[in-house]
Amino acid sequence: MDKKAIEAYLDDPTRPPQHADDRELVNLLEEISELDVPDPGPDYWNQFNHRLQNRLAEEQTRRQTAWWHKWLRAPIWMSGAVALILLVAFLTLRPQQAYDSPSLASMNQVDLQFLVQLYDDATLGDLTSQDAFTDEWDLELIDEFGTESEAIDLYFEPDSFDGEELKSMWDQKG
Amino acid sequence: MITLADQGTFVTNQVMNKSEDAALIERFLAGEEAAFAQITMKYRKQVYAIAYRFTRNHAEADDLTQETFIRAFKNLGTFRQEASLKTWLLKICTNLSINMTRSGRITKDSGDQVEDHEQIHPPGYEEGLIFDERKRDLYEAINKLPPKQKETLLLKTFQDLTCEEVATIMKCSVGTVKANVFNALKKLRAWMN
Repeated sequence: MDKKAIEAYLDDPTRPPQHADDRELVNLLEEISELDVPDPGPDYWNQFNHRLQNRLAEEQTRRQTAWWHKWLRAPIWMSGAVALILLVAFLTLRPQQAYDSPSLASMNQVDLQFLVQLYDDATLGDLTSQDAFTDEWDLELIDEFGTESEAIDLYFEPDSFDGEELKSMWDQKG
Repeated sequence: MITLADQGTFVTNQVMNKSEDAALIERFLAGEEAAFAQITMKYRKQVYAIAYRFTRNHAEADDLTQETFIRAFKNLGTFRQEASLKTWLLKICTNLSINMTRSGRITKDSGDQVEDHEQIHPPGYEEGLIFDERKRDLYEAINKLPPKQKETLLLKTFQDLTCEEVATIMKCSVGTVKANVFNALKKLRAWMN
């Protein structure tokens, strides 16, 4: 058997090999070529077209809706990343109307001036939190009852409430 | 015997087919779905035949043919037209068939009968389905070949596929196609004798 003779035949089927052994192989090749495939018939092909059209229509529908399917199937980290981007965008781009209001702007200016004044004043600037309790009456109350709210609760017990006494105390303290 | 005139006609037909196919592809890509229906009508029998050659089972061949056209529909936009449309379709079908045969998913030979669809057969159809003993033996012998040799032989003996077209489908050189065919034939002759 000559491999080259068979290869030559495969290149050009018009030239069959001369040697009997090689011709036998070519005959076998032609026999395989002639192995027929049964035709399923016209009804099958009509059904085939119909089924294929249905499947293609389904395919198109699936392609059109694929974007949100993909979104639903996306990993959680991707959703988290998008949520983070949206949050940053919101915080950056949100309207800041409150600070643009003229009344608030002027109030802020007043507050600022007050603070500047406060810290420029040598006596006020040295104030500590302890200095806030200059009122001895307040301190006594807190020492006696623990907290301010307890003091008030006890002081204003319904049975012992004396409006006149409270008024005179208020006047004394100014 | 194939004459030179036959060969000339064959080449002319191939060139005409290629330009006709290119026009169909262009129309389909422009959004005309009827063009794809025409492609299906033109090549469905060849695709079915190659699927049947690999599987010897009507139901599997039908499934593979449908799947081939679904894939073609999805990927026609990526087809670069370096090979002919027929070769491209047969390549898709061959790959699907090879995957199916190698995975062993094919159900046992259904006796070459088309049993899934009720139909009226033309006269002589039943006779056509009956393979004689020699053909059955030949198929059994082909099935015993190593996969690459079997696949190459089935493609090379399919209709008018050239060695170059088989090489494109099998993703190998023309020399490999010829060597595979030669080795397959040698084995078959030994077994058949």
